[in-house]
Amino acid sequence: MEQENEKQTDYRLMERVKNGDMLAFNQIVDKYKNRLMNVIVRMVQETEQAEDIVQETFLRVYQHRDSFDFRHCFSTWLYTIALNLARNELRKRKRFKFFDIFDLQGKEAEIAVEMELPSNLPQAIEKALETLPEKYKTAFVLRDIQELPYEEVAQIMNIPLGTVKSRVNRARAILKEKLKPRMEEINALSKGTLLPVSLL
Amino acid sequence: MRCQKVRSCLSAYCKGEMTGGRRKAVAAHLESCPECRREEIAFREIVGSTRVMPEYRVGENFNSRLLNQIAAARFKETRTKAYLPKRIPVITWARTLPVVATACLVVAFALTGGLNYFKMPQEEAITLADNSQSGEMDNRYMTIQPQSDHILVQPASQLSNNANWTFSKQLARVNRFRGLLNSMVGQRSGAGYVRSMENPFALIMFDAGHRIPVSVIPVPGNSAETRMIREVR
Repeated sequence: MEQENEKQTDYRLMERVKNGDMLAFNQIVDKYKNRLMNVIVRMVQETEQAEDIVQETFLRVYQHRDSFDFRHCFSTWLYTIALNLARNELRKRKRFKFFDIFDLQGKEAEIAVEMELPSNLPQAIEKALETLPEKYKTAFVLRDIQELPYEEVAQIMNIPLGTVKSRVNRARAILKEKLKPRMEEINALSKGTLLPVSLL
Repeated sequence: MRCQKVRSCLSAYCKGEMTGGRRKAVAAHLESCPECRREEIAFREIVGSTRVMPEYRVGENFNSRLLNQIAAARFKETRTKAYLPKRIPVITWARTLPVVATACLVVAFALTGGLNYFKMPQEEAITLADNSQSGEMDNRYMTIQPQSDHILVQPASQLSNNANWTFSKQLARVNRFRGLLNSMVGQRSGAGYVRSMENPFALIMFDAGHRIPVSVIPVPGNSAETRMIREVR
């Protein structure tokens, strides 16, 4: 019900934007800018770049306001634009990939990342998210952090509903595996038990 | 339910995405399996933590920067529309079609002997003129007309010798008048008797549509022949 109301509000605002109402556009920006930022930062892992992508997203929304199809959900359209821009950015980065010197020296870098996991679980999840493959990360962020319905995630990612569910499930399982030692450590510390040397 | 099956759907269970009998089956298994319960706890911690993940916010001047960008884009768009079209196609159908059509017409005109239409067939004319002076019958002139419906029905011997025109001159004049007449006929459905008041010369032409042979006859002044042909019609 709440979602339906939100949809209707978006439609009304977009109608006004189509007629050139900048106040309505400002309302849309205020409503979605931080939501988009939360998704895009986790995709590109750089705050400044993420903000640029969010800016570009709203600019494109304004430029293509006449092509918005009112049969579809506005937020779906918005997230799709933002994610496409983020994907383009990641693709660009792949072309100019810089290698860390540690990567060439065996598994030192990997160990370092594991040891860098913060003791605070949300921050540890944030860190572990960076290592997730893009397709699992997108599904997880949209579903579990943005709390969008599965159907909308499927529309945004343009994949079947079953695939979304499977990707989200897989992402959660990977994260759990990555965070397991950290969680055990936290639990042990909270219970006052002695830890094995490797975890210290 | 077996452990493997339960663990594959534990995250959905912890998120509250499972309903009905399946949920009950997982709950029953968890009560009896401490290993799976440990997994469940781990999932619950992760699920709980995702709800309190750090929030990212855009910068202070985000809106003003965006509005500036939009203003710049709008300015650019307006300028582009006003002065420079986004794309100037070098070759378009709208441009090439008239050129191609004109070229086709010119080629067709040339191939069908269009230029000869305006030319006076000099050699033929001289021969005919000579024949007319000698008084001999020569029907070759019957074929010099380019259009089958425009033929001279009068033999050359019957042409007036009193006129100061040689036959070739008369024929050239007839051709010119015929051209004029053709254009007139093209505009009007019927054609009949046309007479020039300036010269002692007249043309009589009948529309092919009436199934009457069209005649082009040079006649001096108000000739009786003109009247005669009108009566024939």
